[in-house]
Amino acid sequence: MNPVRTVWRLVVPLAMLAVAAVLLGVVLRAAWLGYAGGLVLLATGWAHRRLLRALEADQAAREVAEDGTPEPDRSGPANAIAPDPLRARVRTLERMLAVGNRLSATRGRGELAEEVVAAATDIGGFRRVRLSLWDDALGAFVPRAFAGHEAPEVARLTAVPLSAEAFAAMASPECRYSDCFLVGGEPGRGDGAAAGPWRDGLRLLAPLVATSGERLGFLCLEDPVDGRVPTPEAIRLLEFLVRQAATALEAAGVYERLAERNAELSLASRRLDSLAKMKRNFVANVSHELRTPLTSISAYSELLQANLGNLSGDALTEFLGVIHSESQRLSGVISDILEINSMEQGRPALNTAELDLSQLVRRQAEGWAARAEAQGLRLSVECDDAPLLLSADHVLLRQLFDHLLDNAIKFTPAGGAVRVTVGESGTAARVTVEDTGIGVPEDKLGEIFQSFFQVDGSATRLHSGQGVGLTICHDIVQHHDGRIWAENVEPAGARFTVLLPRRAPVVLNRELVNSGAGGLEPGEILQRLLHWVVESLGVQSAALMLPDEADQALVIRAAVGLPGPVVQGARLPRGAGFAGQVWANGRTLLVTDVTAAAGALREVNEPRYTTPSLLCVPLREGERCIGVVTVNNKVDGTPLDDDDRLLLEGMAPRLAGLLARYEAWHDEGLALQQVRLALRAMTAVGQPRRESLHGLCREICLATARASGFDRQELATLAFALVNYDVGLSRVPPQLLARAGRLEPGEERLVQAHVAAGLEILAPLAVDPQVRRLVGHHHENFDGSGYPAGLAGEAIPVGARLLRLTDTLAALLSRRPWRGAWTLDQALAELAEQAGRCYCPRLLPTFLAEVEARRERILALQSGGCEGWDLRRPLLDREGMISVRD
Amino acid sequence: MPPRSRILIVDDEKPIATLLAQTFVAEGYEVANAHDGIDCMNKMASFQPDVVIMDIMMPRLDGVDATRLIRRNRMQAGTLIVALSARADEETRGRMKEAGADLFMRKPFVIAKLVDRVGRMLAARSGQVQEGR
Repeated sequence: MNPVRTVWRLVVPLAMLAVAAVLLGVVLRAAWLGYAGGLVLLATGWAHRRLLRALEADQAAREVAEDGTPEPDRSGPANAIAPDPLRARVRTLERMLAVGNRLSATRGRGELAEEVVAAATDIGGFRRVRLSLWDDALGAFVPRAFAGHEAPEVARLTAVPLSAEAFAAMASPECRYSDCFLVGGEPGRGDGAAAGPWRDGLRLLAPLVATSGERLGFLCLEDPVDGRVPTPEAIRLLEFLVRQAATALEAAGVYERLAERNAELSLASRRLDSLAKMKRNFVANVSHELRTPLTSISAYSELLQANLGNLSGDALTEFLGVIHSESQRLSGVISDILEINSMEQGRPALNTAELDLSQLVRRQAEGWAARAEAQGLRLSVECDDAPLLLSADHVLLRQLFDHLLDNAIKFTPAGGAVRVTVGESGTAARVTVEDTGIGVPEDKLGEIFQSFFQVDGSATRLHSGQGVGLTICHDIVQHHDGRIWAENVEPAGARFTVLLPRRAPVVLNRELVNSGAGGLEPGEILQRLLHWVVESLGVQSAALMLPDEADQALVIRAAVGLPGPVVQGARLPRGAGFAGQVWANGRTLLVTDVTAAAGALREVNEPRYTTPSLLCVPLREGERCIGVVTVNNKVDGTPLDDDDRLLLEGMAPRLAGLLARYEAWHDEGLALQQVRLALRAMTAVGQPRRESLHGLCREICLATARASGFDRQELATLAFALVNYDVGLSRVPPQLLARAGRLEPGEERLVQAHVAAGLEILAPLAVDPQVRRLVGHHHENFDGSGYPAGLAGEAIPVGARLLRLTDTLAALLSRRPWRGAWTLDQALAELAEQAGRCYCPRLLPTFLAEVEARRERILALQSGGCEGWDLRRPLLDREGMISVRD
Repeated sequence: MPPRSRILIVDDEKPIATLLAQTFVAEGYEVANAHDGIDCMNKMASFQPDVVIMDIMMPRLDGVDATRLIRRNRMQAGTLIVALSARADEETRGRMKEAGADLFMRKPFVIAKLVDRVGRMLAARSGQVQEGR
C-alpha cells in the first residue's frame, strides 16, 4: 500500500497549490484588464470634456461678438462653418463615450461583436462592415458580425475562415495606413492613398490587437458614406474605437475564461473529493479482499487444531481443501494488488510477438473447463479453425482471458452457459465472453472496470470476490490500443467484448531510432505514423524514407510489410528508383503498373507486389522535400487510384510536420505525448476496412465532390476528413456505442460530444483549418436542426454537407447492434425524403447518381456479411428509423 | 429442557457459512443459512431466529440495511444481531452499531470466542426476560 500512499501525499498538496496559482493568475489578469479598460474610458471622458470646454469658450466668444457691433463678414463661409465640425466632433465623441460605456458593460462576445460593428458603421461612416474574430478551435479568423451584407453573402463569408498566414499576406506592410491596412488599392501607396476617392474593391482592415500584442480579430470596412478614403484624422477616430473594442473583447474573453476556470475548479475540487473518497474505499476494499480468505483459513485451522483427534478422514480432507483453496485465493488477491500498483506506475513496454488469438483463447478456455463443469456450466468456444494472427503480449493476453473467464464462471449459476466467440470486426480482432449469469446493474456498466475504486462506499457488492480483475483487464486492453466494454444480454447474463487491433508489425531502422524521450518508447511515434498511413489507405506495405545525414541518399526509417534486411540496408540516391525520383522532383508519383514502368523493378523495396501499383508522395517542409512516403499492395487487391493519392497528399503535410517535431522531440515531451494520444485515437480499433461499404462510401463522396467542381486542394482536404471525421468516437464510452437499445438524453449528449472530442484529438496534429471545419460540422442538418453549431443551409461548409450524406449512407447500409442493415433502395428513399431537412438538396442528385453508378458493388458488399460495426453508432436514430427490418 | 435457540447465519462466503453452521449445530443450536440480505429477510419470518450472525459485504442487500430492516420490525425486535465482517473500518463499525447490531466482531475471528459470546448473550437475555417476569 505504501506507494499508493506516497503518491497521495504528493498529489494532494500539489493539486491544491496548482489550483491556488491558477486562481491568483486569473484574478490578477482580470484586475489589470479592468484597470486598462478604465484608463481608456477615462481618457475618452477627458478628451470629451476638453472639447466641450473648447466649444463652450467658442460659443461664449460668439455670443460676445453678437452682442457687440455687427461684423459684416461674420456670415461668411469660414465663420459660419467653423463651429459645425466642432459640434460634429463633439457629437461623435459623445457617441464614442456612449459606445465605450456600452462596450465595457457588455460581457458576451457575440453581443460585443454586434456592438462593435454597429459603432463602426455609425462612427466610421461605412455602409458595409464586418468583424472577424480569432477562433482557437479552428485556428483561423471567422466573421462573427455583419452590417450591410446580404444573407447569402454572410453564409459564404462565414463558411470561409481566414488563417493567420492568409491575413498576414493580405495586410502586407505596403498597404499600411496608420495602424490599419487599405487593401485592394495599388500597392505601395500606403499613407499616400489618403483622402482620395473610394474605388470599388477597396477594403479597410482595422486589426484588433490585445494588450499582449496578439491579434484578436479585425474589422473589415467597405463602401464609405462620403465615397472617399477616410482622412488620417477619421482613421485615428476609428482606431480609437477599435482599441476600445479590443480591450472590451479581451476583458470579455478573460471573464469567459474566468467562468470556465471556475467551473473547472469546482469540477477539480469535486474530483479531489471523490478521489479522497476512492482512496478510503480502496483501502477498505483491499483489506476486505485480504481478510475474507484469511477468515476461512484461520477458522478452519482453528477447528482442525481443536478437534484433530475427533475428525473423520473425509472431514480432514474437506478442511484441508478449504484451507488450500482459500490460501490460493489470498495469494491471487495479493498478486492482483501488486498488479494494480505496477499498473498505476505505468507498465513496462509490451513484449509483443505474433500469435494466433483463436488458439490462445481455446487453450485458456480448456484450462477453465474443469471448473465450469464442476459448477454445472457449459463452456463453449466458437472460432474458425484458421489462425487469427495479431501481434500482442501473450502473457498479458492470457491474464486478460483468465480474468474474463473467471468472472463469467463465477457469476453464472449452475445450469447456465458461458460462451466465448473469437472473430473479426473490421480491422480488429474481436473476442466476446458471454454468460447467462446475474448480469451487471445498468448504471454500473461503465464503472465495473474500476470497481475496486468505487466511489459509493456501499457495502453491497456485485458478487463475492469481485476484485481488481476487471480493472486489470481494462489496463491490458488499453496497452494494446484496444477497447473493452460490458453489456447485459437478454434474457439474462453479461457479455464482455474485447477488440484488439490487428496490425502488421512496423520495422524500424535500428540505427536511426531516437532514444526514448518524453516518456515514450523509442520510435513509438514513427510506428504510430506508419499505422496511421497503413490503416487510412488500407495497404499492406508502406515505407517512410528520409535523407541520410549527408543528404545524399534516402534511407528507410520505418516500414510495414518489408523484410527487415531491406529496411536496414536500403539506400536510394537522389533520382534513383521511384522514391528517389519523387525526392528529386518533389512531385507525387502514382504508378498503376510498375511492370510497365521503365527500369522500375530495380526498386529497393521490390516486394512481391500483390498489385503492380505504387504511390509515392513527397513530404514537404516549405519548398524543401524532407522525405518520401511510399505505399503499395492494397488489401483489397485493387490498384492504387486517385482517391488514394488525394488522401495521402492530404496526410503528407501532417506527416511532414510531425516528423520535423519528432526530430526535435527532446524539447517537446508533453506535446509529443499529445501527438501520441492523437495518433492512438486515429488508429483506434474498430475502424471499418477500406474495402468495406465504408470505403466504397468514401469513394462515392470523393466522386461527388469531383463532379461538383472541388479543386485539388479541397479534394485533398475532404479525403483527409473522410478518414478522420469520426475519430472523436474513441472518447465515447463504448457501451453506449454498442448499446442495442435507445439512449437516454444524457447519454445522447455524451455521444454527440464526439464532434468536439474529434477536434480536440486533431488539435496537436495542427491540421488545416478547413479540415477542422469539416470535422466540426459533419452533423449539421440542412435546416439548422443539427449539432453542434446548428448551422443551416449554405452556411454549413459544403464538404461537411457531403460528409453528412456519406456518413448516413454508410450507416444505413451497415448492420448495427440494434437493427439490421437497410437495403440500398430503403436507404436511397430515406436520403431523398430528408433532402432539405437533413441533407443538402443541391448535392443530393449528384451524390445519388454516383451511388447508382456503384449499385452492383454495393449490393455485392452488402451480401458479403459482417463489418466492423461494433463501435459506430449513427446519430440519426429518429423515431421510426430503428423499426425498419428489425 | 427449553427449546433449542435458533441461529441464522447470513454470509455469502460459502466456506465460512458452512463452518459456522457445523459449529453451532455441534453446540446444540438449530441453524439456518442465508446467502445474502434479501435471503435473510425471507428467512426471518419463517425461521424466527434468536440470533442472527450477519456478514456486511453481500450482494443485493448488505448487512447494514438488513440489520436496519430487522430492527424496524416489532415482531423481531428481540433478535440478537452479531455483525461479523472483514470490513472492519471505523465507519462501517459505526454504521453497523447505528443500525442496531448488538455485537461487532472482525473477521478473521476465533470460533471458540464467537460461540462463547453468543452463548453468554443468550444467557444474559434469558436472565433479563426471567427477571422481567
